[in-house]
Amino acid sequence: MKHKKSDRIAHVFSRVPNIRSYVEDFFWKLPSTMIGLEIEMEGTLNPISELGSNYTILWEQKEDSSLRVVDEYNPFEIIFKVPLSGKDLSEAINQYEIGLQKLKTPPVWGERTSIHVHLDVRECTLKQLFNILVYYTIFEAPLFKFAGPLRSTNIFCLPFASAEGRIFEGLSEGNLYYDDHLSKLTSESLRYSALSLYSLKKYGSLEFRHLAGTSDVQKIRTWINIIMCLKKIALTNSIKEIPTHFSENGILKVTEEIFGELTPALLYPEFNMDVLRGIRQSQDLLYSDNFKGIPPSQDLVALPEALEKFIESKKLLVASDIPYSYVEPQQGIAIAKVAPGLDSIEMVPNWGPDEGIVVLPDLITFKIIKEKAILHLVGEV
Amino acid sequence: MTTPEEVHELHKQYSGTYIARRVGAVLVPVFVEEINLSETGELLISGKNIIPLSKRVDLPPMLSGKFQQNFDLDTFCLDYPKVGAFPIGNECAGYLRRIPTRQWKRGVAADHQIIYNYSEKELAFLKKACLYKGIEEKSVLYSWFNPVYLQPLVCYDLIMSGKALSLAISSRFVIATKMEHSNPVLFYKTHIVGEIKGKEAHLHSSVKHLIEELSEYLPCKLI
Repeated sequence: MKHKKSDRIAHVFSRVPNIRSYVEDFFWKLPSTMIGLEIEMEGTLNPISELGSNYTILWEQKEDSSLRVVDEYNPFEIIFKVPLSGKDLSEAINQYEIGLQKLKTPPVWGERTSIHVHLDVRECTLKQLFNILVYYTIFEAPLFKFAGPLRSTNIFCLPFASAEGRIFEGLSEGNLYYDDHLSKLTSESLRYSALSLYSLKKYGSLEFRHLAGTSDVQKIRTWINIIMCLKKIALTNSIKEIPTHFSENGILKVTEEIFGELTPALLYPEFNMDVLRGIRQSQDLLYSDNFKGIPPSQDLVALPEALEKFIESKKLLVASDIPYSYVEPQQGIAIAKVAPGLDSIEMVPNWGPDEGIVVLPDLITFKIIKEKAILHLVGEV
Repeated sequence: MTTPEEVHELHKQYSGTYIARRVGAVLVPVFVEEINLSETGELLISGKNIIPLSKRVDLPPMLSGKFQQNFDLDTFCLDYPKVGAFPIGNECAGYLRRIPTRQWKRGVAADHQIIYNYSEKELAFLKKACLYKGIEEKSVLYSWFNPVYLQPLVCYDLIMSGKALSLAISSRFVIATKMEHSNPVLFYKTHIVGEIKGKEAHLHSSVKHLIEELSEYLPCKLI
C-alpha cells in the first residue's frame, strides 16, 4: 500500500496548498489587507534562493524582458506566489531582507529596476476605489518624491500630473459605473501609468509602480504602509469636503491624519505647494460624475415641456444620462438658451450639427450625439 | 565615462525625439538623430537645433542648425516639458498632452503629442496641426520647452483687440475667442468653463471650485 507523504487535504487531492496563515500583524496599517509584491533585480542572484529551498514557499522567480544582463548575471524578478497579508507579509519581506544580506554580489539598482506593490481592493466598492484615486491624486507628487529620484520621469510609471491623457481624463470625464468606460481605463495599453488600473481587471488590485529598486527593506515596508494609508482613509472617510477640510485644517494636519507617524517620510521643502496642486488636480475627480455614483435611469428624469418639444422638433431620441464634467468644445457645438421658466428654447445662430451640447443654465444639460439627446441633470428640473 | 551599454540605451530612448539643450537661460529644443560613443569615450550626439525664426538665441556658430558634437549629458535637460496649455508666440495657445501608454522613446516624440488650437476646433498631432494652421513648427517646439505666460489682462486686451485668437494664462487656463460667443471665453484645460464680460468672469455653475485657483491668475471678479 502506498502512503501519502502528508495528510493535508491539499496534498491528498493534489491541490495547491494554501500557504497563508491569515494572522494579523499590527505593524501594517491594514493588518489583513492582501499585498502583492514584485521586485525587479539585475546584477545578482535570487536572494530568496540564497536562503535555501525551505524559504521558497512565499516567493517565486520569474523572467522579466524589460531588464538587462548586468555583470553577466541574468535579470529576473521575484514575486509573491500569492497575495499576502499580516504576519505572512512581514515574513516574506523579512526573508527578502535576510536573503539580500547573504548575497555575495549586491544587486545593481539601475533605473530599469523597480518595485511594484499591488494593493488588494477586491472588497472595495467603486466609490471606495474612487476615493483611493482621489487621495492618490492629492499626494501623487510626495509619493514620487519618496519613491526615488528620476521615478517621475520614468516612462514605465508616468504620473497623472504629467500624463493626464486617457486615464486621468477618463476618470475625470467619465463615470466608473459604466462598464465600457471602466473597461477602457483598465486596458492593458495603459498599464504604464504609475498607478495602474490594469491590474484591477487582472487581479482585483491597484498596482503602484513608483518605487525604485532598493536594498533598503525598511523603505519597502514604509512604502507599503503609505499605500495602505491611502486605502484606509478611503474606506473610512467621505471625500466630499476634502478640499474644504484641507483649507480649514491645513495641509500638514490633514496629512498627519492620513499618514500618521509616516508623515515625516513624505515631507520636503515644496511639499505644501505640491499637495495644493494635487488638491486642485483632484477636484477634476471630485466634481466629476463618478462622485454621483450610479447614474439615474432614464425613467427617473422628467423633462420640462419646452425641452420635450425641442427634442421632438429635432427628431432626437432621449437616451440615458451621460458622464459630464464641463462644457466640452466638441465638434458642432450647439448652445441653447432657455428663457426663465423654460417657456422656450432659443438656439444660437450656428446651430445645425447632429452632434453637440446644449446647455440650459443651472437647470439641465444634455449632449446630442448623432440622433440621440443624452441627458445630464445639473440642478433641479 | 559612459559605458557602451549606457550609450546604446540613450540612443534607444532619445533618438528621433526632441530634448532640450541648456543654452544660458533658455532651453533650445534639439532633435536627436543619433547618440554614439566617440573615440575619446564621450557622448557623440548628432541632430539639429530647433530655433524659431522669431527668436534669437546666441549659439556658437558651430552649434547652430545641424550638429555632430561631443557632449556632456548634463548639457541637456531630459525632463519632459510641462504638459497642458502653453502659448505659441503671442498669437495663440496650444495644448501638450501625454498619454501613459508604453512609449519606447523618452524624449518628446512629435507623433505622440497633440496640439489643440483653442480658437477653432482642432485637435491634431503636431506636424498636421502646424501644416494645417500655418503655425511655425519650430515656434511650437520652442514654446513647449520655454513657455512664457503673459499677464491675464494683457491676454484679455490682445484677445479683445483681435491681435490674438487664444492665449494661455497658465498651463491649465486659456482665454480665447469662439465664434459662438460674443465675449472671450475661458478654457480650463480643453473645456470651456466660462465667459469673460468686461471686468467679470462668469463661470459655469459646475466649475465654481476653480475660483480658488483662477483667482491667482485672473484679477477680475469671478462669478
